[in-house]
Amino acid sequence: MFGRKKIKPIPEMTRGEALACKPVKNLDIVETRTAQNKIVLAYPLRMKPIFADAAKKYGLWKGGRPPMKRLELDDMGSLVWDMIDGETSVKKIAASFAKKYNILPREAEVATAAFLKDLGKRGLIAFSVNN
Amino acid sequence: MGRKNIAWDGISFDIPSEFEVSGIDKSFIQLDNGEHPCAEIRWYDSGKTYKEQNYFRQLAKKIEAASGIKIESSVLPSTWKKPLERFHSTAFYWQSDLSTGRGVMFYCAKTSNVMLIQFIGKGGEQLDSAATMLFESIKFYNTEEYTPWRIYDMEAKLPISYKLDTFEFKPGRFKIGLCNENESISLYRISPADTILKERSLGEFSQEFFEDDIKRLNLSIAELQFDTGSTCMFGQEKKPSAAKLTMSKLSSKRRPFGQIEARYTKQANRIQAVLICSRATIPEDRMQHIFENYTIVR
Repeated sequence: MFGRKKIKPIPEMTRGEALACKPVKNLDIVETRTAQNKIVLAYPLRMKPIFADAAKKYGLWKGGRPPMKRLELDDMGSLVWDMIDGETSVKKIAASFAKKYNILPREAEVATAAFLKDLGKRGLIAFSVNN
Repeated sequence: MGRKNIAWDGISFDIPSEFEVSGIDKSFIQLDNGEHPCAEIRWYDSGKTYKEQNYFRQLAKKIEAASGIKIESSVLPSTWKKPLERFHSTAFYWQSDLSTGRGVMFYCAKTSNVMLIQFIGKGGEQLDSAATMLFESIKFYNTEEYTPWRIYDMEAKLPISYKLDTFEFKPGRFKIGLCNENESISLYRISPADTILKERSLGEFSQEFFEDDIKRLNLSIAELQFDTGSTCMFGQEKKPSAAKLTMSKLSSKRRPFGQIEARYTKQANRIQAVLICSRATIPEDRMQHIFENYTIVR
């Protein structure tokens, strides 16, 4: 009666389920290639409303669009980015990455997942869980 | 069923090749079967005063306090009996809302080690054969001359006096740091080498990678190139100052003598590097001996 209410643990996604997710690119991104074949992504900066209002006030919000931020990917990042098509799973991307760079499959999975997570945080990609 | 060997912190054992190490610490290894964690292994040096019941009671108390899971002793599964007959073992099981587990705690009288192995989940054939494989191949090394290290794609063999000090397994950068009273040895494995060395030499990379150690130990570079890859060495032109030498006599943590060697292994696409810090002059052949016993497993 006086005890704390038990919180039912939310079942986490298993490793296999997480690796089966398919990353999908954000369509608002402008993608260009440098002379060295590296990819440069220009994407709208995600802002909290209070900062967005300030940005609008100081003229940083041009043509009704938020300020754009640029991100240059290295060779490995470019390889992963090129494989994101909404059809290829994280596991397949990691496997191709491991094969191309001759690294351990698990190492490639961790590196790829960390990179994709970072892209997701920036709003550059989303993950589809549909098979 | 394919198998692979794991050697870590004084023990070695075989696991099915589809299993992988998913958690690691001093005297601890967690394994997963590609989907979720399926086994945990812990070991302790118990000294000569091992009492099975005391250990088991303490263990059960600890786990119950930490997770609320009640550990009950049970009969050793029939398939585990034969591979575990060389040890004094106590089987146990537990059950929680989300999972179940069973395991065994056993004592190796020869090496005075207590080991705790638990298998998480309902079991099945895969886990059962993995358990048998593990029990059959488990070996303790604290009474041997050399300790093997084999984790992911790193394999090394070093004298028993070198104990695990630090470790790091980040994508692209693995490190195992070992030390004894007078010397510390750090084994590095860096990948993918061809990408890292695309726009710079091994010397430039090593200088950047070991920047702090080079400054601290006052090392200078001697870069050598070979047909199959390249090697670069850093050594001390001058003896450490008298003050540093005096300090090293007072404190075992001060190790003023140092040496670094990095090798690019083209075939494996890795950079292997070794850093030695010592309280005394490092013998000329020390680095060579380490590299003879430090390889990349493919």
